[in-house]
Amino acid sequence: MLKQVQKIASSLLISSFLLGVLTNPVAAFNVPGFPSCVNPQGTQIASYATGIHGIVGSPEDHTGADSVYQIDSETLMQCFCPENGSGIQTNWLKATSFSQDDIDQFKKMGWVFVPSGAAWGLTDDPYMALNSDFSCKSTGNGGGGGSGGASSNSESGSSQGGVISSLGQVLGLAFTGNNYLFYSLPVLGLAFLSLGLILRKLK
Amino acid sequence: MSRLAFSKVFIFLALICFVLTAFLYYQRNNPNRLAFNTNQKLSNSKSEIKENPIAIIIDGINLNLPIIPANITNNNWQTSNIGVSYLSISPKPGETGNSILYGHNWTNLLGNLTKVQPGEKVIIVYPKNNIKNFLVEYTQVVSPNDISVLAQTKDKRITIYTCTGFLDSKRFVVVAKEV
Repeated sequence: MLKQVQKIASSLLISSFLLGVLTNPVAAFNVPGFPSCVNPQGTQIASYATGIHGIVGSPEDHTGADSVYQIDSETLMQCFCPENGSGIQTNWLKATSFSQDDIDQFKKMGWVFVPSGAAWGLTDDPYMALNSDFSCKSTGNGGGGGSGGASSNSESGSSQGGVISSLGQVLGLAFTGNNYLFYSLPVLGLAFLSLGLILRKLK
Repeated sequence: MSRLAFSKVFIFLALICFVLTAFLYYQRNNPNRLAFNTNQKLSNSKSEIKENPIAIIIDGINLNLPIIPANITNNNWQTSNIGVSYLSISPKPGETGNSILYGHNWTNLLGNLTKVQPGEKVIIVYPKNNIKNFLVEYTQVVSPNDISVLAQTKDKRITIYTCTGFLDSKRFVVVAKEV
């Protein structure tokens, strides 16, 4: 009985750790990092203050502001900001050299395979695309405008002498936001301990 | 036998709770959690405003907190338990560039930041009641690896961030521009 319960408890513990790992899937290959639409990087290659735009993976048309930034030769980002403020960031990754296995792996992570970027105003190459959400105040100048508006050649400049200039990782703020959890855990522990000791002493 | 078994189970669960509490406490106070990659080339921005900001107000979420200047010492990002940290090497709020403000997602700090919506007003208070007004332009949940949100800009903006998501695995970022 005890062994079974311990097995269950251990399984739960291990599962929760695995859950943490699985929610951040690690690919067998490197997925390049993409900037955020709150501060786009790279060179702006398209900007529409308004209009009807397509979002990859979404069958309907979307109306709003749209900007596209070329990050490097292989990656682009699209920042779409509709009038209701529910923005969509689309990360584009050129898939010219991808094998079918690579494409399948990306698909498992939520990416959409686009056989040709030509229909999307990009080069006639295969692409992988991934959407994510952001919120924006629709101002009619495109999603990000990281350098004071959506002017062409806008580079908000990860190398502009400021806080950071190269790759790195923002390690997290303390995992402590939930005060209820933080204070209830030791209370729960004490309760369990008391119960355990009481049961042990009972005759 | 059964009673003894249950006793052991409860003691085992108690042990798990205490271990998790210790883990949470460690996470809560670990300054390294705020650090960037150690091999960063950091530089100070040239500041025209002499005084540091002293408070941040976001009426929409009933937030009124002191601002505490923070430095990076031995790759540890200073944090505050009583207010919002302002990264001193970033431009001061209201200056050209990207001013970085950050804080724990504790209830008494930036726990409600995730409720902020674009269009909301953010007030940065300087000494002598000088204020700078900002309007929230964007919010987004980003990966901790996405340091682009901290990159410098040519506009006048503040970037406020805190933790969110499962096991604080993501960052909730608010970008507001001066009006």
